[in-house]
Parts: sequence; structure tokens; C-alpha cells
Amino acid sequence: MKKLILKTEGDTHVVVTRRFAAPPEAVYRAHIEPALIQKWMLGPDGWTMPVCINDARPGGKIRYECSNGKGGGFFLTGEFLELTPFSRIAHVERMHLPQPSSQVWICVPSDLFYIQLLHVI
Amino acid sequence: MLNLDAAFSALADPTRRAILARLTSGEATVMELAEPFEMTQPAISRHLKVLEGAGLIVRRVEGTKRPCRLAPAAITEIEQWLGLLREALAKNYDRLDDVLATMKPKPRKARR
Repeated sequence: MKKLILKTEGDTHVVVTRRFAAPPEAVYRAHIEPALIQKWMLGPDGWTMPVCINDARPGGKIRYECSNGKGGGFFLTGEFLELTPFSRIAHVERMHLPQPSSQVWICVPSDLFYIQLLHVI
Repeated sequence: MLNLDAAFSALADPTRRAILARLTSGEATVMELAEPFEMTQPAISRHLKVLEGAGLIVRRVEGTKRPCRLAPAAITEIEQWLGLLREALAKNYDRLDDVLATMKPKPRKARR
């Protein structure tokens, strides 16, 4: 199992670092194509993502609806800011929980094995 | 103690999310929490039991009442939220490892 590193920077940034044994193209596609996203971006075991709208271009809409398989779930919405195949994705996502949050994930697969996410709270 | 599966399940219900939102304003009794919903107090109590089991709220005893408030280690605390985030991301990325492995072109069998 690869090691996930999570660090805070100041009061508003979380930096997540995780390595993947795969080319940047594959990691990028897995973050962009709905059929792939629905296979892994699920949270705890037993959850599914019945709805995955991912219009991968600047201004394109994001909507992920997650279900716990027992009639409950939540959803997040957002839009893409910029995309640079296969090295960078910036988007805004809002998770609709008691305290909705706006977050910008910037995904930088910069070499064969490396991904870093900047998460702005 | 926050548990990822229990916390996600607790948050998967809109009534429970609304209860947590109300508790950000301070402590409340079951009666006070039930008031905005067209729901009986026993139904609200069932939701509170789920939230308590997930470690998101704590309750104290005051006479016949048991007022609820957000647990000190509830989602309003950055450290606990980061712990949840870390767990969720770790699981997601482990799954992504598997998805990426299926995307590899299969090696061709050597010809005999």
C-alpha cells in the first residue's frame, strides 16, 4: 500500500501527496472520466456514486451524488477552472453538509508516480 | 472517537445534517430539536442515537432532559475533520491503485 501524506499549510490549505505506479495520463483520466471516477472516488466501503457529471473543460459543471446503499447520501457540486492534460486540474467543489465548504483541488501529476493536491478550505 | 464509516452514515441523512447544523448554534433538547421537523420525538431520538454512536454529539443529563451538543471532537474541529479526510482519501486512493492497474495494457503472451 502506498503512503498518503497530508499536511496543513497556514489556516486554509491542506496539501495531500500520494504516489501512483501509473503514467500521468492514466492518473489524469481517472480524475476526468465519469466511468472511472465512479469506481474509486467513493469514501467508505459500501458507498456508490450513482450520478457522476464531470464536464471536463473550463467552466464545466461537476456533480457527484454519493449513496450509502441504504437510502442515504450526499452530493457535491462544482465547476472546472483549468485543465492541462496530463499534468494539472483545478476545480471548485462544494460538499453539501451542515457547513458547506468551497474547495479548490489542484492536481499535479508531475512525473510518473507523483500526485499532489492542494485543498483550499 | 470519530469513525469514518459511522460518521459518513450519520451524515448521509438530511434530518441528521439539519440537527448538526442546529447544534452549531448551541445545546438543545430533543423537544427543541424536534420542533422544526414534522417528526415525533422518538423519531428524532433515533437520529440522535446514530449521531451519538458516530461520536458526533454528546449528551448530558439535566433532570428529566438529556440536552445534546456537538461533541468536542465533532466535525467543527479541524483535527478530527482532517482525520476523516485522511481516511477517506486513503481509501479512495487505494481503490484508485486498483483502477489504474486495470488500465495497464496486458502483456502479450510469448509466442511458442
